[in-house]
Amino acid sequence: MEKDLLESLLSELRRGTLILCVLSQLDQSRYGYALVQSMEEKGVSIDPNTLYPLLRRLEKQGLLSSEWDTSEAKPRKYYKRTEYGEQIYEKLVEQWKLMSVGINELLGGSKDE
Amino acid sequence: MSEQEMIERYIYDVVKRVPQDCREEIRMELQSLIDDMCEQENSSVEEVLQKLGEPAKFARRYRDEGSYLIGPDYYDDYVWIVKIALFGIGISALVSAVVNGITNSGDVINFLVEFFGEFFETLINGSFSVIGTLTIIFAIMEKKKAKLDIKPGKKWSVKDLSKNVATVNSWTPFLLPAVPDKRAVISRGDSVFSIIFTIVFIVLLIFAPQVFGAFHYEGGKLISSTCIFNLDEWDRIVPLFVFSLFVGMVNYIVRLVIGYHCKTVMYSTIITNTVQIAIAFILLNYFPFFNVDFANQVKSMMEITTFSNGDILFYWGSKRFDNFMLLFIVLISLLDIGVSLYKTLRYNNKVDKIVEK
Repeated sequence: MEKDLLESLLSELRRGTLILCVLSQLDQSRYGYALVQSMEEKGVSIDPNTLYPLLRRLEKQGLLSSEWDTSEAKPRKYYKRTEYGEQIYEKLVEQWKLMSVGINELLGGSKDE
Repeated sequence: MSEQEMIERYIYDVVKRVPQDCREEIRMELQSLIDDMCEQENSSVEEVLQKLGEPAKFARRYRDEGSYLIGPDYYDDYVWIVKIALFGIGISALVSAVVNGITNSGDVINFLVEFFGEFFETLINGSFSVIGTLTIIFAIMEKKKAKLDIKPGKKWSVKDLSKNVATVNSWTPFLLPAVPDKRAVISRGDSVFSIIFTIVFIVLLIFAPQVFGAFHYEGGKLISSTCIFNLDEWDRIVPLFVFSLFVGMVNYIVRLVIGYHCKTVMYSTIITNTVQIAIAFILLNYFPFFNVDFANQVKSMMEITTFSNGDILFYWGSKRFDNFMLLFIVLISLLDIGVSLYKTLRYNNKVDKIVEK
């Protein structure tokens, strides 16, 4: 029971940051599974069943553009940030930095009060 | 099951649950995803599919979130009203079962057969139609509200990110609905009673109109019965009549959900009463709505030759009687509209003015 609660709180915590993480990796074209791997290498794991729907949604919102590569044996859909996605990404990064400073302050700064 | 077949089944199960126009693309994406995962993680198909999880859950993430038939805002009211409706249907099933049992039975076994037959028939038919209709009403309210919610919000832009988040949202405290004046509050009990009464009435009119009539017993045995309504034309009368009651019920539901006299309730009341007057006019003028022979049949039941002119049945079947009924309905309707107008304008007007500022 306790483990389930921790799991759900963790996934809630992760969910908000996923878009930022995904956008960060798409300055160059990548297909879904390659993105899973590159994020994993950097220590941020994401389930394909979360990532694939998310990529479609970000595309629908105009943050990503996509292109099918059918020249290889396996057809793959490559995603990349659009110009609009670029603008949003920069704003998100800015906010993230502010937020992490603030949160670190909160977590470590209680002795100042 | 071969590995290829397992993959096909999995993809099919996901893809059939996503919108038509993106099925083909998602199918191709999933196919190469599963291939990649098997190859690069050195896993069996079974392990990979296990990791991807239940197709239904996977597919749910592909669909847009927040599409409800009846959303959280209305859900409680919906459940509550469905419960009331089921209660009402239970009562009507019981009444029509008793009447049916008494009018059609010879002995105890026959009575029980008729009783339970009628009871379950009314209960089941009534429940399906009433719950179905309520669901449609609420689904429409949900859809309308979804549109209203979207309308005032302006399109989000990047610039908003650096601003205070509160300015993005177009809500302001001025939009807060007023705490209603105590004198404008509509009693929940009244609305509930009216809804139950209307449902009982509708169900009986459809399934057992003979309940509204006179019964002649002698020595515990039913000799004859007669209905006050014109059952010969019933197939044409009942849709209009039930529609009129149904409009009334929608009005009571609006009152129950909103809970106090305000402009919405006022408009709803005016529309409802206008529709009901119009239908009453049609029913009383173009059909013989009532059973013209009712008074005579009652006379023969009571073995009398005439009613005194103080008795309502003395006027039965005459044009004067129909006009009196219509006048009565118009007066009741005007009273209803009057009360709603008065309470809205008297107790709720100042509230609307604050919003306008």
